[in-house]
Amino acid sequence: METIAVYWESIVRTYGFNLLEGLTLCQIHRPLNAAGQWGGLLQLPEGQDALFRLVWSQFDPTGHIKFILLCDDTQWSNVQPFLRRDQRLDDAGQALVHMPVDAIYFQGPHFGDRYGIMDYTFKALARAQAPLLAVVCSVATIYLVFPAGWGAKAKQLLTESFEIPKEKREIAGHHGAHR
Amino acid sequence: MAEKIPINGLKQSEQLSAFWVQPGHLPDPTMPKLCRALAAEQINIAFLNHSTIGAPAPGLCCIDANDRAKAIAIIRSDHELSQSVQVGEQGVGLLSLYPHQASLRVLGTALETLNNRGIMVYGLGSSIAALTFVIDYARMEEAAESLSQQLKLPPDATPSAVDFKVRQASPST
Repeated sequence: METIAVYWESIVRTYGFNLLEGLTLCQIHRPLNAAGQWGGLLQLPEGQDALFRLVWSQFDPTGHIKFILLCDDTQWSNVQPFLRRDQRLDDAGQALVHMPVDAIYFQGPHFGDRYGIMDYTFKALARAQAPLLAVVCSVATIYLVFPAGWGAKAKQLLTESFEIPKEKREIAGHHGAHR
Repeated sequence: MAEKIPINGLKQSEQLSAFWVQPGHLPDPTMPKLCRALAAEQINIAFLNHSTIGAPAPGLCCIDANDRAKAIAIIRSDHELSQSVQVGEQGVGLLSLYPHQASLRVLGTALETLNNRGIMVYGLGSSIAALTFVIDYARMEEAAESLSQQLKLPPDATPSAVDFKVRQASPST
C-alpha cells in the first residue's frame, strides 16, 4: 500500500550554493548504437584515475545521444584520452566540443519533493540575464552551467534570491573559496 | 575479467512521464516557461536536463505520472509550449546508482550494461553522489537486475523502490 505525506514550507531553503570555477566541458555526440561501445572504453584500467564533476546525456530522437562531461582542469589530462580513443570508433555523427565553464550546484532539505524550485531559479537568473548554458536536476541536486567567468556573479544572484540558513551560509561561503 | 566496482545501492523511482523540449538558442525561453507552468499547477519535477551547448538535442523533463494529464492540458493551452514540447508516450522511471565516485569506469559499466540489454537510456544525469538513468518504466526491474550483476552491491542489498511518497503542496490546495 502506498503512503503519501503532504506538507508545506513557505520559503525555499537551500544548503547554500557551491561554486566550481575553471572547469573544462566536453561534449561527445554519438550514434545511439555506439553509446555502449563508448561505455566499454570508459572501463579501461586507466579510467580509474579519470574523475568527472558532472555528467549528463540528452537523447536525440534522430538516433544520437549527446554526452556532456564537466571535469576539473587538473583532470582533463586523465579524461581526454577517452575522448581521443572514441574517435577510433565508428565516427558517424561525431562532434566534440571543448570549452571552459563555471558551474554552481545546490540542494535543499526538501528539493526532491518541492515544486517550483527550477522556476524560482530561472526567474532569478533571467532578471540579470545570466547566460545559462545548461541545467541538470537529478535526485535533489540542481546543477547550473555558465560560461567561464560567470559563476561568481550567478552565485551572488542566487544567494540574494533564496533563503539560506545562517550556519549553512557561512559554510557555503567557506567552501566556495576553496572550490 | 576486471574486478567489479563496489557501490552502495540502487534506487528505483515510481512511474514518471517524460516531456521533451525542443532545443533553442540562448536565451532559450521554452524550458523556463514549461517550469513556470508546472510550478503554477504545483507539479514537482523529478528529473530535468537541458542545454544549449553543442549539438542540438531536446531537453528532458520528467514528472510524476499522476500529473501527466494536468501537464498535457497546460501545454496544449499555450501555443508556444504546444509547438515546442513533445509528450512521451510511454512511462519512464529513474534508476539511480550510488555513489558514482565521480568515476568514468562506473559510468562506462552502467552504460555498457544497459546497452547490452537493449535498454534505451533517454537521459542520464549525475548528482552529488548518484548517477541516474531515465529508462522505460516497464524495464526498470530488468535494468536494476543487470546492474546488480555487473557492479558489486553490499551483501543482502536489493534495489529499493519507492514505497513512501512525499510532496509539498501549499495550504490553499
